[in-house]
Amino acid sequence: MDTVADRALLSSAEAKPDELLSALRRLTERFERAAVAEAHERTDDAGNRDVDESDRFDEAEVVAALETFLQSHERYQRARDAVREASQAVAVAEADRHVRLVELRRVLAGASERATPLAPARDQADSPVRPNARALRLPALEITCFGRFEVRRSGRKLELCASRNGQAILRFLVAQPRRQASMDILIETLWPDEPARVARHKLHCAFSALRHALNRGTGGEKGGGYLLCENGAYLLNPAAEIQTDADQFMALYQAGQRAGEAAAVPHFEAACRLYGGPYLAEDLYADWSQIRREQLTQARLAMCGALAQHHLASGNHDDAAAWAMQVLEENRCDESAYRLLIRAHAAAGRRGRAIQQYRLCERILAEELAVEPMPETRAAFEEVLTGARP
Amino acid sequence: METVEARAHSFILKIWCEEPADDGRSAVWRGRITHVPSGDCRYVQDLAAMVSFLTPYLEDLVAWRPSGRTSSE
Repeated sequence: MDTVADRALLSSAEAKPDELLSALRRLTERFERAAVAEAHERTDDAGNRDVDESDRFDEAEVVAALETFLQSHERYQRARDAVREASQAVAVAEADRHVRLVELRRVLAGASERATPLAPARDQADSPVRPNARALRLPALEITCFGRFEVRRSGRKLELCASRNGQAILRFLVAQPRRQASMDILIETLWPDEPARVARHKLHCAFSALRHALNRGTGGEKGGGYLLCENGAYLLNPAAEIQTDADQFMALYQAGQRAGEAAAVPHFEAACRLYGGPYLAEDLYADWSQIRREQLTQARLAMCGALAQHHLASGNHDDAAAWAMQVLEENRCDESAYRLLIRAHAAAGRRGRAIQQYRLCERILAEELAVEPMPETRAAFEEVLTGARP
Repeated sequence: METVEARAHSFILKIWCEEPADDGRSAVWRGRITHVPSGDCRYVQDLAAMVSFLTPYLEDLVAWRPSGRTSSE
């Protein structure tokens, strides 16, 4: 491209930043060559007359071109920031919409329950009905699996049956991918040492008590409602709306993964707000709950780490430290979390806390693994000592 | 009636890569093994440490006898 075209490009408001940079680079090179040639002209009597006239620059013209370039570049940066902010706002609105939708469902379920007669007509109760029909008038159940297990219907906490095994059946069914289990599996899980006849009787009693507790006040007829027993399988009625915090948590996690980078933040924060403690804490040492609990824990730690990194990069040092701490509460040997924590404290001006965290990391790694921190962690510590930025 | 569960131990093994291989260094992996029934856990960085954690539980299984039987039977 010749000099005239490059000058025109620099003055153009529509030029792209990379085109502007290339044009500026070419013009600068030509300007330097012209300056050298002019110096030769002045010192060499014979002179060097080979310099292209178009390479001769007016200083004011160069300054003007540079100013045009800088203005274009600033416009580009402002536009880019606006797109980024808009994308974050969309993600926040999406997470908010999800929360409001859940709330709306809850309110509608309550309104529906108040608007319909509590007792079903006799002909409906006695006739064999399909699960879908049975569930038509059932308000949604909201089940809390993180921390203390709770069941709410239309926003009100349900008093579950006194039978410990009845509650265990519900927790077990909720944890199953299809929310159902055969009689044999339930017996093997809950009464492994009982004779078959006794175990079957206990299962029947516990299941009846649970069904009564869940259906009470809904008009859920005998043999129907939230719990069904069909073809030797016990199941949560697939036609009833049953929401769990763990399912919402995973949905938000996956939405965040799809959104990616900064747009994931509102999803991840909404998901982590749902976390109120270990998944099905009542069954902490039962084999059957382990896999799901580990999946949820892994998702939570991935989100906490991503949030800590995001907030550190955004200058929200306290938030970054808080998220990194959550990772360490779960895994006290996670060095990447220590590095985030050290850098967050240092960036917030808490040099002493940053050094303290490094010393803690050193001590815990020595205790648990008999190793020293990785070079990357030592580098983070040295940044604190020297006041250098990573 | 005692099922196999009465003489079983389950464990959760979590392993992660602390740093990927880079600059002539080998990748560093670490892990944590948890005995589910008791919640006891240990951080590990090699297979020998895992074996050492599992050994007492294996010894416990080897020493197991059905209720009412003695080791001389």
